[in-house]
Amino acid sequence: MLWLSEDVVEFLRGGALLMAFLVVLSPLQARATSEFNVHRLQQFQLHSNSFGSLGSLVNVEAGTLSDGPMLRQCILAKLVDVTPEVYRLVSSQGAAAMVIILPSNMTALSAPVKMLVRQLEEAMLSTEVPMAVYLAQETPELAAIYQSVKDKTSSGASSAAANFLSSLASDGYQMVVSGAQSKPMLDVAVANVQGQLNGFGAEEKLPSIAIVAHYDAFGAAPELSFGADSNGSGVAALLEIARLLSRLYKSPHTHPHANLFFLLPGGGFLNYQGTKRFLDDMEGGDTNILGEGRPTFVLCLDALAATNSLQLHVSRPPKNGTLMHAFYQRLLEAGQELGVEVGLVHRKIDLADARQPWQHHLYSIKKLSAATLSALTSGDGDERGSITDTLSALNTTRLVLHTSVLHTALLRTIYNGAAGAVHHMLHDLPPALNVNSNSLSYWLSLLTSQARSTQLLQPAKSHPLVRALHEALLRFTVDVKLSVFKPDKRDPDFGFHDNTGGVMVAYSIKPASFDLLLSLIIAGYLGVVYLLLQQMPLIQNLVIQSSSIRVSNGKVKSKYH
Amino acid sequence: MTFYHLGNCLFLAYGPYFLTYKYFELSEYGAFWKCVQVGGMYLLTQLCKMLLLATFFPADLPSPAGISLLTEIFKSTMDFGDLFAISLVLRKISASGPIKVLIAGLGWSTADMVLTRVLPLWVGARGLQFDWKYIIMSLEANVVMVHHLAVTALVYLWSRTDSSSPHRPLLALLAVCSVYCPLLPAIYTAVLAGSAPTAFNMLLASSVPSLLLSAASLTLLVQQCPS
Repeated sequence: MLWLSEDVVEFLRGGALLMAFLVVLSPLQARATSEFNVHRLQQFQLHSNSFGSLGSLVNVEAGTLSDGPMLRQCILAKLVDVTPEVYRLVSSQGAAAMVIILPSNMTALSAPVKMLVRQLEEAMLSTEVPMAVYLAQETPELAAIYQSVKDKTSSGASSAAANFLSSLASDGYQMVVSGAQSKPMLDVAVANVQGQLNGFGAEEKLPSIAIVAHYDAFGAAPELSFGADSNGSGVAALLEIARLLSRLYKSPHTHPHANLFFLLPGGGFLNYQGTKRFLDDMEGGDTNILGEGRPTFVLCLDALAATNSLQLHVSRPPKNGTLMHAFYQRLLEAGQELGVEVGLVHRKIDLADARQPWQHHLYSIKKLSAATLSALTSGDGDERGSITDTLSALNTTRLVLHTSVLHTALLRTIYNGAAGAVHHMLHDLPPALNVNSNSLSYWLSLLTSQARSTQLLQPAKSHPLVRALHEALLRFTVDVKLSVFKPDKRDPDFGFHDNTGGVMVAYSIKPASFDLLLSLIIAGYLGVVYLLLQQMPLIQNLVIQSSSIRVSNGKVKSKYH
Repeated sequence: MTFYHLGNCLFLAYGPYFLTYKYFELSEYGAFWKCVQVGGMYLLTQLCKMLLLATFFPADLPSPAGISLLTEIFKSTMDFGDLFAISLVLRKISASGPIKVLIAGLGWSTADMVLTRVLPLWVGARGLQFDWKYIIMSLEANVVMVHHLAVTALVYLWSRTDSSSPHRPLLALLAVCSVYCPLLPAIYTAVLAGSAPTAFNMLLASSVPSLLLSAASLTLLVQQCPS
């Protein structure tokens, strides 16, 4: 009969012991699974070379940058700790994945750090690595995981036993990105938007100026490529100028004797695929405002707010008497009046270059007189196409100033030699015809409200941004055309892989040795229970004794209380 | 965590049930089928309790402040139904006293465990994420077994004593305690409002009263049925 009581007593003891043991052993924070958004490194092909990160699936244990092995690990690293050398090292060590943790406030980075970040991006985008590379914004959760993993790897335990103990005490993390392996996107298309303002008189004989600004952006991660300066600034300036000039073109009193052509090509960071296609179509007989037999000038805009000065990049020095020369003179004047330093950078076309540094090179190759206006002094740097290039990092005041210089120079070029009211107007522009900072900011916020890497602007024809650009040109210009093209199926000039980002899940895990230890403890616990059951008769006697004491002497309390 | 961890948890949760069943050689009494019948009774009782709860205490919307203590007390009061059901079960089982208690208690708690813990363990303990709560859940299963055995013993003693017995008030008090002691963790949480108790503290809060209760009822059982 008394088996029952014994059994219960034993359970109590065994349970209490086990609990005490576990309490001592474990850091008792039941951590929930944490999830965070990650953005994958670009994976793209250009001229049949592949770049970026091949992998997209992750299911490995987390590690940090350390002297230890990184094989089959997901390396967590802060952006400031990653240099191109470190990146190459991690890749060559056979890491399965890498998560680069971006500081929560990218704009707060100092200029030298930003330069290092751009160098890293350059390194990441010019090579191909088998591991999956992700970028993630820092969150408190992610920071805690990083710290925990870092503490674990840097505990520097001297012996194997110490290592084993520390691995039991600390949590490991299994990083998981599930889904499908990235595959080539079949229907990547690029859209070009164009429009024009026709001058007064015989259209075919009037001089023509084309203003070109590619609207796509680029950066280490497609989803983080907001491209405020490159090339949001160029597109914003183009749209603002189109808006201002469209009013002058509508009025018979101010209708200029020059044609203006606006082109917003896509694929600018893919070696100017949009422009290339546009030029091919033009050669193919598309009637175009840039046709031969009249003075023409193609002005490309790119990164207008990067520095305090403006440079006109040319592949041939402007000859006296050409439209480009006239524009350059006006630009110098306007710069002087508004206090912006204007320079001329001459660089010959190198046909052997795999990637042309500036967009105007493509026009120059086609014997068109072309130049690029940019605040950058060199096209070889890594300033364009970076995740650090965000709206909050952009100096809007500077962009307004530079756009004003450009606007003034353009007006004077168009109204070259104009007299009377127009001449008067040029030197004292009414406020409504001046560059408006609100309007520029509006264009900029429209452009930077979403990442603009080419593979995200799909489907190209109906993407909201492309439609917005199309509608803007429809409002200001005539003969607006939206043309979409795809790379050649057999020999594509460019291509992308999907899977630009997703959710990474960090599971806190224990090593297999912990499970084994747990099994041993449980087996021990059950063994104790079994032994106690076997000792029943003994305990039974004890209970009888104690209860008989109690029965005989009511004042003695049961030992069970 | 892996399938192995699930094995660990099930091993820990069911081991004591198995050992108890084996050690008392309940199979010799043809107890397996009886245990299953008791489990069926458990299921029926819970269904009735749920029906009553749903009828008389319509589900209050989950309040942001947490579970209200009053509702919990109402819900616990329904557990007197368990005592009634156990007394019915005890009347149906034909075996000597302590074996009767063992069969009823073991069947009852096994049904409880299968219905409330197996699914969470199956779903959770196999997952990648390690969490102590599955170990705690398994330990709780052990505590629940002790608790149900004690409750069954109390009900058995109550049915054996007549109304004039000096133990009657004590038995009644213990029975009331047994019904309301699952409330203790909730009270503990309410007292500690703000600082959430750790899972192991909660386990202690629920196991200590159960263990005291069982010690008391066992002492009484020994006095009543000296072997």
